Amino acid sequence: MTRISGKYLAKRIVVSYLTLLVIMSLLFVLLRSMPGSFITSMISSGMTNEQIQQIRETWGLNEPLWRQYIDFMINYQTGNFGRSPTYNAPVADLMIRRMPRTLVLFGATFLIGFIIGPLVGMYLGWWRGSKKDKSIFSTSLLLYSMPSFWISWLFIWVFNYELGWLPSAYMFTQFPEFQWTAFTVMRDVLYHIALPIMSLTFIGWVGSMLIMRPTMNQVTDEGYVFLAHAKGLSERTVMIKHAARNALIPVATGAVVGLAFLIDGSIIIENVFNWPGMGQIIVTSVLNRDFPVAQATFFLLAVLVVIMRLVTDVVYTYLDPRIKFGEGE
Amino acid sequence: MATGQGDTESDGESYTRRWEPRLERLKRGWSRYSEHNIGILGLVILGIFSLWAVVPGVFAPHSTDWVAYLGEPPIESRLTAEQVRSLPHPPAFGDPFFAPLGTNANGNGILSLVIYSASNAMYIGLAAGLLSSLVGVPLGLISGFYGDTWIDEAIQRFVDIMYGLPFLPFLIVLVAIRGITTTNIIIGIAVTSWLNNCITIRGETLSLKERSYVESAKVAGASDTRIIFRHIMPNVLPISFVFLAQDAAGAVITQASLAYLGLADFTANSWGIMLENIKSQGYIFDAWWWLLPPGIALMLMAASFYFIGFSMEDVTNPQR
Amino acid sequence: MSDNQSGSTRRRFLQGTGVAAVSASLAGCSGNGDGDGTETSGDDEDTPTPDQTPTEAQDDADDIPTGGIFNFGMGTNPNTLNALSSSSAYVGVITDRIYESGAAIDPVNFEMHPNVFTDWESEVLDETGDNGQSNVEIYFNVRTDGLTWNDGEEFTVSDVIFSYNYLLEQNPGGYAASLSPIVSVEEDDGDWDCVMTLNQPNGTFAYDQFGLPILPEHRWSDVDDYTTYEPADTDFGPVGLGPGVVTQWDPDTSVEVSFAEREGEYNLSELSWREEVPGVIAGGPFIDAMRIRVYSSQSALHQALFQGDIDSLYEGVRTSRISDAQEDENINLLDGFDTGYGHYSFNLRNTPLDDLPFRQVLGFAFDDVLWTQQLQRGYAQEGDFVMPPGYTAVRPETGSDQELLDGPSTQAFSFRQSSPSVPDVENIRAFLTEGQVITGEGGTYVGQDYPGSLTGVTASQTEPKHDYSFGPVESDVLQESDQDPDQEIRVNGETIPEINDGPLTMLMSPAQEAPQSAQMIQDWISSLQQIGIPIDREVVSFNTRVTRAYGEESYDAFSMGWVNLSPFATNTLYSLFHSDNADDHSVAETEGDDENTSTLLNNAMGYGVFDDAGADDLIDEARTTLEPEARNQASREAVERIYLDFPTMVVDYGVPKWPVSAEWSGALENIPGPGSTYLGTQIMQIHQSE
Repeated sequence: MTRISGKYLAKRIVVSYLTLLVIMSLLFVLLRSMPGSFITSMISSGMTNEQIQQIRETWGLNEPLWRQYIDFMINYQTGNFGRSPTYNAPVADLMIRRMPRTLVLFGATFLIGFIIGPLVGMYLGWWRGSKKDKSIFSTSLLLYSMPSFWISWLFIWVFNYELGWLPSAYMFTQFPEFQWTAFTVMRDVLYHIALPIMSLTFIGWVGSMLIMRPTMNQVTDEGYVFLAHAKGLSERTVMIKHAARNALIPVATGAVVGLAFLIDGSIIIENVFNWPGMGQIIVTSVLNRDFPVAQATFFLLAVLVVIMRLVTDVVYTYLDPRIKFGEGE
Repeated sequence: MATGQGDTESDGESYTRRWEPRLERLKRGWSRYSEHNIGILGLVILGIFSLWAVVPGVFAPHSTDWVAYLGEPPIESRLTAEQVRSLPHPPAFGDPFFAPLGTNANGNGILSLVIYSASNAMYIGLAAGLLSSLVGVPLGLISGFYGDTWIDEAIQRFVDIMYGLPFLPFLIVLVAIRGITTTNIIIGIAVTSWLNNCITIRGETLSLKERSYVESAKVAGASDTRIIFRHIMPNVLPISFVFLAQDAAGAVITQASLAYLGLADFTANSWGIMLENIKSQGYIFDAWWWLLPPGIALMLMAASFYFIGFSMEDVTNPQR
Repeated sequence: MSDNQSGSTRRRFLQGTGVAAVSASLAGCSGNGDGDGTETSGDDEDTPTPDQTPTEAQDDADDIPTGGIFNFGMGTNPNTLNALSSSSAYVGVITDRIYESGAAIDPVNFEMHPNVFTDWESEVLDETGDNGQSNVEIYFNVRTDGLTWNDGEEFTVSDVIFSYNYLLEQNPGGYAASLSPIVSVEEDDGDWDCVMTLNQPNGTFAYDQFGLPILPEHRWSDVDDYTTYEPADTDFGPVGLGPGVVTQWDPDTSVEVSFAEREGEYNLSELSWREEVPGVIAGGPFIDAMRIRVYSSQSALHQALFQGDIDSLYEGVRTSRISDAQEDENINLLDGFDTGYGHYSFNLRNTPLDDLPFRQVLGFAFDDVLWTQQLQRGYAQEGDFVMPPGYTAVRPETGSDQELLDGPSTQAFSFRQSSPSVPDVENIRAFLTEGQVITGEGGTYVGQDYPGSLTGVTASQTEPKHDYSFGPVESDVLQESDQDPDQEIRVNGETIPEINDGPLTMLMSPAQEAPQSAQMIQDWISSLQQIGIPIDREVVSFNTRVTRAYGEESYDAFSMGWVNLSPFATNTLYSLFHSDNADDHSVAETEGDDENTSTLLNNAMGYGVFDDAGADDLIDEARTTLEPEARNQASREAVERIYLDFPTMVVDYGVPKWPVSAEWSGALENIPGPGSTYLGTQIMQIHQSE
């Protein structure tokens, strides 16, 4: 096991931070290149020019762009996300309310996807080329090819519309007849999250399977697996204990890709299932030109990705002594 | 297969000598590829879609302007209120009209729309895949070849930044800036999808440049450009085709997602727009004949790209 | 998210203002003439005609069962509880239960009645203000017979004075139109409680100025900037004089407005006038609470209705589900009519749109039957005047013997076809080349008889301005067009692209919410191209379209809609068609850019700015006339003048079908906006079925 030098870690953290700064700058430019502004929705007929100036003033639109940019960069350093013109509320409040909902969705999908995916991948990789591998692999590719909103519709159709088993919207029962206790909260969330999770994982698990399968196949050729076989260990033991353990490393680093998939997926899924999280608000805020909200959502998602990359990089190094820095596989 | 060919064409060897190993390699590749049923299946599906794209009129029972009850344009009559109410019409075979997959709410035949939409998906898939290869491959090559220099560092940091921008929302912003047209959607997809491409090619290049034939070319005084494009690129091309196929599949699905969010060009016939229409007109749970075909077509198109891609990967995988 | 692209803020324009604002400000314009709201109405026999009296299962108020929770669905979330900073109709669904205004309108006779103010009187003064108009003083008394704020605090006259002065000082945009004529509101020295001074006569002050919400001094006096105040964050939520209190608030998913838990006394529903209006039930609300659920898509919203999760929804059932709703015995569909109209509007500043016959030709090419009968499935009425058919008093048919909507004088610009759905290209061209104009005189135009105008007005322009001819197709748009026109129009010998540096452009929304609208525009453009008019479409997002059309006026044509127009017409006509509300770009060209504003002025067409297209005289007359019948007559003339001048083509009126679960009775039918504009009235009288 390697030792990760403090210096290396410090360097990585600084680089990640700088990356975030650049992302923020890019965001600022991109969002403001869009035609239109949230101000459109606040100005109405019969307002005088002074009133319009007043509104622009209130929302800081009269400042020169560079000034707005600097304010934006400084405010974000201090955790000040500003105020949303469309929600008439501090952006931070919105984020605090919505972030956990999305994280619940992310977490559950991540967990399920990263259990099923590698397990199937392990199995397929081990038996690569077999009939089972071929049929399961091609089926999973078919699943992977489905548009997520479409499969969600099919699930809603079957489980909500036809059978009436599961709700098709929200995270909680809105006007519950029961008391909120730890148990009922859990039960209620599970009940509501079932369909979104099914739709997301139905497609999502394939991603980690695709990483696991070839690496599993690769490690079967490695010496230690051979050795384990020679020791007379059972096929199963070798597969799980020796081969899979090593094949999991790239899967873990693939988590970043998984996260990117999740972000895209959750945008669609949150919209289909009216899950009031980040994915829903990011689309509406962009379309409404609600820059403060759009900036904050993009920023928080970027933070998530950057941290994830940092962590996986470090974990990767830690797990695999063969890795030299700055080089791929 | 990446055996050092040490080829020097300048010594005027015969045409056959020069091409034989390549042909040979292609043959070997094909036989390896054809071991995969899904590879063949992918090609067949893609073949059918290509035919739909090129000559849709041969396969489609009607044009896209055909209207149930009224027929092909020029249409010089109107639907009665009764007829309008019967739309979207379930599959009908001759009575009162022929529409094997039924019609949408406007009376256009679903089957014809599905067939005519193939070209759009094909175009988006291939164009976005190609574009993202055109960006990702050269950048990956350069980054890998100059590994551990400032050039590599710069490209990698750029990749990091792009990774930090969530794909779909970023795409929405791009489309919002540039307008909702198919071309802009393709550009948007390409701008955001070359990253994996670049990273993998970089990795490949890093290991390739240590190979003896590259070393010897260096010693022989070949320029960097020549080494990259003459000696390294041919060896990473197969794997970049894998990515091209995967990016194409991703692009097809992404376009559908954009359509779902209402951000696709509605004047072009496309499967995504068909699904968007069933949603916006409110027939999702009432017209299975309208809901299923475009989704299945999308799935098969994307799957065929994946099938081809993963079969190719096996061909390019040097370990077997 | 379907409807989300759409998003919430665009709703202010899209869906117009909330119910509180019905009385206060003008509508918004809908993003698509045929949005969720306007695709409605049923078969012909179901289409309400305004002479039908509103109906409802009438009970004696004492026997009405009380209690129960009314579940209501919406497709867009209410973002805030601050009624001043938001004009979203979805916010209004909640805040209109909280705030009350001085006077109230009934949706049946469109008469103003006492509400928080008990009686009033107005007097035109001799003195004139800066605007050359006579000042007016309005004296009124404030109700002090036990009415309290919904938090139980005592309500006093000083609250009213505070409220008006606070609004005047803060001047929130949504109420600007009603606030601008107010000079002052003070306590009266004489017999009355208060006196309000206006800088001009206004026959509809009870609707405009008395429609402003009354705010509690004890809550708002500390609020320095209304835009950053969020009542939802306070200990009690929003405080007003209304019957409700907000008891649950999660704007993303669910809101509860309770009537049972209101503190203090609410007696506005018991006012005697309510018993005299047919269909209106006094003494409500009869329900304990209204629970609002927010859905992310129209599909989900309708699904919830059919599964019984909600008892009703905002606006009405979408076209595609109307037949399902009719068959569902658990759902009653209530008819209503539009409070606005969908339109295509033209920029009168651009050649040849500055010429009346050319604009009229744009009307001949619009296939109304395709739009109303096929694309809207019969759930829309063909458009003509800029006042919806429900507002009969200000429709030009009133006082004539012609039928509403169908009379020949309303059909002057109907689709001219040679065979069904095919435009009569030859005769339409001839209309232009022969120099014809429909001015209000009777005659036969493009093969159709027109008996002459209803009110006797004529168009502002009587002769064509330009010389039209047809020649070989030269412009790219037409050459590339699938329509293969054989000739192209020349205006004074030049093609349109030569004059304007390109073809005419129609701005339209991306099709996600209104695929039908997109199709209609496509068909209209095809017809125009067949005639030989080079026109193209440009798909732009809603925000961009609003900026381009209402802000910069850089467009040729665009489509949108208006809702929540005033039944008294005057305010609407002034706001939408008076030159005061248009940017005069010709002035800017000579005197610099200062004269042009990027203000969103409602009269994007520039109607009234030019001598040969305007109705300023008639609109001014209507606005300052205090006597109702004379005022309505002037409004009717203005409406018909606008029709003949054709700055805007009214394409449809929606016919809402508002669903209410069979468990509930008491809702009013055959009123405008039964599930939107006058939702407030419905909530006050809905009760459990026996």
